[in-house]
Amino acid sequence: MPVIELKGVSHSYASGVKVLDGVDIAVEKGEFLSILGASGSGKTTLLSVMGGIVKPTEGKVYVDGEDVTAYTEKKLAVMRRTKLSFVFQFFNLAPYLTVEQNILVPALLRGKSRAEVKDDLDGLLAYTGLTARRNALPARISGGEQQRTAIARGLIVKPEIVLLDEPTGNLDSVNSREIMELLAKINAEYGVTVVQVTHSERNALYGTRIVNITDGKICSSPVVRG
Amino acid sequence: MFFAGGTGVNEAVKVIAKHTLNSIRKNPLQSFVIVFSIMLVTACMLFAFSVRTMFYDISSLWAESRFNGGDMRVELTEQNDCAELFAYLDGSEYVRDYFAYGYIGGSAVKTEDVTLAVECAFTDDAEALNRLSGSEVLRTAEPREGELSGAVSHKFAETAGADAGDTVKLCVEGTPLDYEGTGYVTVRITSVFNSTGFYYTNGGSEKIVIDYSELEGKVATRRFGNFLIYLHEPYADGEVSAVEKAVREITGNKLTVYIADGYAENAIEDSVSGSMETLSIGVAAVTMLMAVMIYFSYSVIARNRTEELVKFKASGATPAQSIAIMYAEVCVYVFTGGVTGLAAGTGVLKLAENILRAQVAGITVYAEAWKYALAFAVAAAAAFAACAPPAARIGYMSITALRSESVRFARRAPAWLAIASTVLFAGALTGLFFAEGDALMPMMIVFLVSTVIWAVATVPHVLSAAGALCERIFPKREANIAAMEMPVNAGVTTVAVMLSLVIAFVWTGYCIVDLVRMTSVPADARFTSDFVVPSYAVDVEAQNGILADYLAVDGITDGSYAEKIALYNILRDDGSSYEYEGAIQLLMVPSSEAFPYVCPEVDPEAAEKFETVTRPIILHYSAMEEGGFEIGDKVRLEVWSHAGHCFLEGEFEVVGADYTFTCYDNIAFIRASDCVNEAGERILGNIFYYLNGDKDAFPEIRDAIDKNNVTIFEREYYYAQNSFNAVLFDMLGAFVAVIFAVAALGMIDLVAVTAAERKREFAVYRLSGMTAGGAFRLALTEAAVISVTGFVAGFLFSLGINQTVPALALIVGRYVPRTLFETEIAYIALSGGGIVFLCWLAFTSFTALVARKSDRFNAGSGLTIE
Repeated sequence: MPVIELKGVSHSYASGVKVLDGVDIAVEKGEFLSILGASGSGKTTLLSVMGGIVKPTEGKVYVDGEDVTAYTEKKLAVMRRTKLSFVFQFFNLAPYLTVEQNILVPALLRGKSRAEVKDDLDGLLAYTGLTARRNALPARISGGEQQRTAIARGLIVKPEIVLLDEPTGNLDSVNSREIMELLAKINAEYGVTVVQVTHSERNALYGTRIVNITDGKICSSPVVRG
Repeated sequence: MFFAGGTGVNEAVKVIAKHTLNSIRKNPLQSFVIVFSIMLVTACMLFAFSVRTMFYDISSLWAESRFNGGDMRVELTEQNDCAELFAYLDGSEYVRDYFAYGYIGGSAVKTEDVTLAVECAFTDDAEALNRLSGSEVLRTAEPREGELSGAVSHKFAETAGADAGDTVKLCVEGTPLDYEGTGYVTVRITSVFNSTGFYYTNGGSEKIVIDYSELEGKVATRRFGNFLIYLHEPYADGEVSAVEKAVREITGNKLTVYIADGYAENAIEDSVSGSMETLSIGVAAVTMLMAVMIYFSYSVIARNRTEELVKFKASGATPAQSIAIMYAEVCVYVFTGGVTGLAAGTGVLKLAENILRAQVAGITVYAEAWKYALAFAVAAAAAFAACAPPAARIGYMSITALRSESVRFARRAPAWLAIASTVLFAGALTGLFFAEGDALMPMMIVFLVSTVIWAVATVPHVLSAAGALCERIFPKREANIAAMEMPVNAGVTTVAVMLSLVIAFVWTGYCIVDLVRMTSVPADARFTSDFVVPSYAVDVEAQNGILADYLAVDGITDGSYAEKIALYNILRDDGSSYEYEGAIQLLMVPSSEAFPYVCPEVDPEAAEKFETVTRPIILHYSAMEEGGFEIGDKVRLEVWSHAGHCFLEGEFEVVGADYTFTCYDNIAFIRASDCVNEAGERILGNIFYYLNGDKDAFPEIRDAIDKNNVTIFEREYYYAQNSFNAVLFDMLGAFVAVIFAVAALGMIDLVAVTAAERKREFAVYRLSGMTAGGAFRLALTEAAVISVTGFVAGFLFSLGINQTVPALALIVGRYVPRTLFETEIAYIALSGGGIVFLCWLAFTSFTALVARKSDRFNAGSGLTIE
């Protein structure tokens, strides 16, 4: 059973602009899906529909077989808290929390204390190469470190799925490569389902499967990487 | 663009104007707070400058009316026919003119419903008195055969509801007019004078002047006690001395002589300077508070203009040009706030004038052009200075720094500075509890400075500690997140520091206003009964019987009495004396049971000793402090009564203090039976019966008591309020209330802005799974920590400021005791903490909920579309 499945999903903004048009797509457990599209193609909206952030104007979204389009805001928040993690292009770290504290936020919100997740925290910091920067504020670290912090934050609660929106869109090539390699490693070693949207063909190639999106439609056959 | 040169000035002005207006439109709340603050400072300055002049004008009315243009004033201790004195004045080579009058303060005018207390003057030469009085006739009526003619003050006419041509019933204490057998005579008001010169009423009784010539054959003797003497101009000091010497010889030295030269100026200065210093402190404090409000509001605006500044700088704007762009907006605020402030100030002055004219006809409250200019300049300078740091900071920032300006991190002073400031603050606070006399004022200044340093340097550390504690108490969920981020968020520390300082400021303002209020409370406020029956010296044996008769009247429930004479001098047992300029009112009471009527704030222990000690005396706290008296001291008393000066028999023991504070607290209490001179004779004073009862039954009670030239008054018509001061106090109070409201608005503005700036932070939390309830809990934790920290720090500051009250009081020449704690401190601190708590909870929760919507990736406001 796919962990995420979209059936006949369309979405229009209040202005009437249709950004998604009859999308059908399924994300299998443990895969690394890259959704490749140009700016304005609807890829970010597609990701936000998958994460229950945007309710589509038409169609159904299933997460672990449950129709989340019928969920209340509270149930959606619980779903995001228990099953999903988001990583954004601009990192979106809480500015007043240190690296370590930012990573802890989802765990704390799930009712776990720092002591309870200490081992996971230390492991993630080491895994992402942030141990030395654990007490630094986001404003004091590089873009690559910020994105690694965001990824570690996404992983602290061991989510089933990580959704990434242009995860390297704001990074230089060296940092981009490091981040993509980290994501591939996480996918391979932890079996976490990863879905990224990107406009970079090079980054898309890190996925185990690539789909193209143009004008809100999945317009090409998926490319499956060996 | 124009920064590169080559573009016209007009184009530059247009661009700057457009951006300025955009900024104002985008920051309506902050713009409002700035304009309103500038308006308040301007209006406050204009009002303060004008009140200063007004105080001097009013005081000069009072001070100069004591002489009415004369060079000397003579007051005899006892009124009599003064034939010998008249003969001397008529024949003296130095005296150009004079007039004499009998002056009776406790007279009454009766209307159907009330009895009014009036001051009645009798003169042989009403024409001369009115000619020399400096007063202006407002209205006149023809005299009528068979009725006495009375010239009255404007205030008299207002209070009695009578005008020229009307008749009133007059009862004169001391009975020179009891020829009708009723105690009252009918007086026709033939002229109404404006309340200046001789007719000036200093908020007390109203005035009426009667000509003795109309009483020909109806009174046995003319009695005079007051003389105004005019010398030939220019006169030499020797002439004044010669006249004074002669008058003293003629009267057997039973008189007081006042010399006009310099008297009015000194009296005005004495009366006004203390109040003006308090006013100056108040105005300076208001200006500082408003400047802080302007600073915080403008800091927000400056941060909101960083994007524009990036564009300007990218186009080549220098730091100076950037600052000029920022200051264009300040100029708009200064102009708008300044002009509206001048208009508002003018309105307040007109209002003050209209209110005061009801008290003193003809008074003008005005502000000269230079006062307008100065008020505007001071407000503009305060605003420009307050806006300078944010404008300079933004102006000098690099483009890179400007682009990351939205996050504000709390700056914590180095630990050594926090420790040092804590030691200084604790030392100053402790010192305040022990400092006395001359040490009080410097200690107060040290404390105020250390308070500000401590608030800025240490409160952020306190918040950090509170956060750490909170983190331990709440190891998970939203409260833990709040505990982690609060100490780093500049908005949080700023609000906590501001809250503590605003609480301290409000308490300081309250203390200052309370001191000003003290100077507006009439001295008679300590007499608390519903009714007063004044009378001249009554036979000692008869006093209790008369009281019993009054208590037997239907409608009277309880009462007591006191006798009044003047205490001229208090001699310490080491031979030194405490001689107050003027006189101390000595009240003789039958027992301590009279205290609830005449001295409700007397120390209970003192009241108890009053019954047991031989010859006890209770002094007012001011006299205790000023004279250096302590409980247990033995003193001798020199009094001044109808019988002249004399020493009372034996030594009196100081048993305690009276803590009633009014505008004039030179008062002391002894047992009536101890008021005996060295010859063993009982010294009698004017007696006042203080009665409680049914005020609705006043006409009936009056009918029962008004006999033998004795009149009963309702308290408020006998002890007239000092309405001029009361009006001023009300106006100052209203002004202070507006300022406090702006301070509260500024705090709310700061909280709202801090919350709004955290939109993206909240979106991150929400996307991490924080529910709406979780956002509320986060806001709740923050609100609790901030408001409790601000409350505790503000409470502590206020406790210290409370210890500075004796030093503040000394500025207005008053002595007040220090108190460890006042309940109002808790009310103010709780109100401040409560406002911040609720506002923080509301604004932060709301922002967090709005952030949930913004995370929907809507164009332009989402998390990924930057």
